[in-house]
Amino acid sequence: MTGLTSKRAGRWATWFLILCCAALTALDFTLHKHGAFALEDGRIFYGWFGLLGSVALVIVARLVAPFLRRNEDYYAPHATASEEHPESDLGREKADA
Amino acid sequence: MPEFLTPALPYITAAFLIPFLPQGWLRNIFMAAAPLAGIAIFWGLMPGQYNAFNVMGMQIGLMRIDALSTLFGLAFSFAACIIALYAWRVQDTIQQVAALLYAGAAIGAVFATDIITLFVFWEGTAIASVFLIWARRTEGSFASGMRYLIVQVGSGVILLAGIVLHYRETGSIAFTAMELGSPATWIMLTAIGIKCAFPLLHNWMHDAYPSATITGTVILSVFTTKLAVYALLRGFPGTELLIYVGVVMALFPILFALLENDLRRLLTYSLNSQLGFMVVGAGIGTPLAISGAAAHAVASIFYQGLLFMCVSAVLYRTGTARATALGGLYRTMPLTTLFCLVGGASIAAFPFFSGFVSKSLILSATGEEQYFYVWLALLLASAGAFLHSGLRLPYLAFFGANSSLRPKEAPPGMLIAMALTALLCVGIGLYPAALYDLLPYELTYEPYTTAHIITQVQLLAFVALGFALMVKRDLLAPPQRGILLDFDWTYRRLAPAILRLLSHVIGGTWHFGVRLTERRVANLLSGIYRAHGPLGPLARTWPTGSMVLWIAVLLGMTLVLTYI
Repeated sequence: MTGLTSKRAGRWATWFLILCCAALTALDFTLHKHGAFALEDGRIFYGWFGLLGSVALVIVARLVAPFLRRNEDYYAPHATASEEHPESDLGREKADA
Repeated sequence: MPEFLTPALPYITAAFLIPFLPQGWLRNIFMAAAPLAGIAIFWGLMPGQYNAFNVMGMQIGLMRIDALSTLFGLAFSFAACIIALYAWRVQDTIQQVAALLYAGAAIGAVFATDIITLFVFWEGTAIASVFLIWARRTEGSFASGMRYLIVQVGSGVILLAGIVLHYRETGSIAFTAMELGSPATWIMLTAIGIKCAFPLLHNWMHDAYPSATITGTVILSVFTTKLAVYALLRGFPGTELLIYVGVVMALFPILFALLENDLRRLLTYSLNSQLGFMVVGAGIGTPLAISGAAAHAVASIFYQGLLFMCVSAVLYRTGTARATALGGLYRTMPLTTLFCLVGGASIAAFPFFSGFVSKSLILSATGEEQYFYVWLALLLASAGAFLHSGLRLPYLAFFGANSSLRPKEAPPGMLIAMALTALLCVGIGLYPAALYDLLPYELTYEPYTTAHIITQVQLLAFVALGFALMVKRDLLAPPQRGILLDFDWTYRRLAPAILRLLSHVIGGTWHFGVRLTERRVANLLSGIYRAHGPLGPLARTWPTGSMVLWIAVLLGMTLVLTYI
């Protein structure tokens, strides 16, 4: 597999982000912050909040998922989830090779 | 100026005219020109009220020009114009007429001076927009449209009830800021809350939007909810309850957006979360917060519209918006991918994109008023927005798993519409003064300070790092075919089940009662029959002699008693 969907591209992206985060952490120490709240002025507050916040959101979402997920035809035939989109509204075309 | 002149008029006129025009460029030009004609009606007018007239002693007004109505009017008009370009290939008269009437009704409502006019246009948006769902012409979309119509028309009827009570209380129908307290104001807030997709009143949106046609979803995403935000900003600024409603609204849908498989439904949850920011702004009610909410509504019309356009373009070319079927589309749809990334960067509030200059106004307003937990919640919702719409959505559709789909790039009309919207997203981000100058209050806010840029980029970079690490470790919830139960389960499954149970219990009790009564009545009747029936003792024939005998006995007794 090549291109941006490959594992290699993923690794590169991760390393690039690690570098960015490191640079932003370094920059954070040069800032004079005057936030509205004391917490905001803490060192790399936005960094750790973003990282932990996003992980926490995903974990909570994964925890509630088994209780919420049902088959697509759960409400069928009174819902569109299990229907295919009508062809008359589509313009399927394949890219030229 | 004629009394009936309103910026909605060109839309309504065009809607009546276009069925008589041949399908093709002429009709499309009419569709795109109507919003421009609408702008021409209100642009440049001095603030004030125009075209007011008296009906049954009530002051009806079709045009109120002030900063708030002009801002929303402009945003709606531009959106309607762009959507006309996006829908260039649509050759369905129903959709074209519905789109025009829907946009016209929304714009008419924005300029309404009084709540009666607001109500008329409010119901107009409901009735016109349902045809965008029914135009899909499937059994599911018909059911979905019916549910949508019931909720939307219900919202209008509730609004009308509030208006009547309000008129009885105050004797006024002017649409101005109201104090929450009387039953009338509570009822009106509920009506607005339904259209604004408040928590637990929100399901119509997630049900209907992904059930519409390809362009229908894009159109729906623009008007109804933003009209409700406008009504909140106009009618209930500074209502503290809204702050907490908004926080729940901003956070709650994130979980669904992180799990949803249907990308159009993912975006409706994302839109719901963004509306939460605006509701918080309306609730805080300071000039900065109101301006922030208005600015965010405008920015959101475009970036959310752009995201919907990208996903709809994918659906148009591939026939599916299910994340499980998509992936790797960037190879053959590079421009759509680029526009999706622009939309993602805008919703994530990346510096130099529209979300950055609008969302920060609301966050600053929470800071100014020292709502610490509200600020923290909105910051989390901000991180969440980047996670689900800026990262998960493009990852699933355009990168991520490499599907075998190799669709052609979106058609030119769609690309032009997406490019224009992307330009607006970047333009507002690069030159925020253009937006700030249109806001209801004058601002001295400077979004581009070094600290603000660096802290925001820091937040987003760490969220992106978290995302990358979770993808690498397979921690991110992988898309799965299926639906997610939401609160609508209570009225689509639970309530019918309870009703069935109740009907069973009540029916059983009734039948038991009927059987019991029948038996009693039968016993009674047979008892009477036994006594009075042909064989009963009371129906026996008595010989005349015995009657004479008894009379003789009675007479004898009377004689004896007389002499005693």
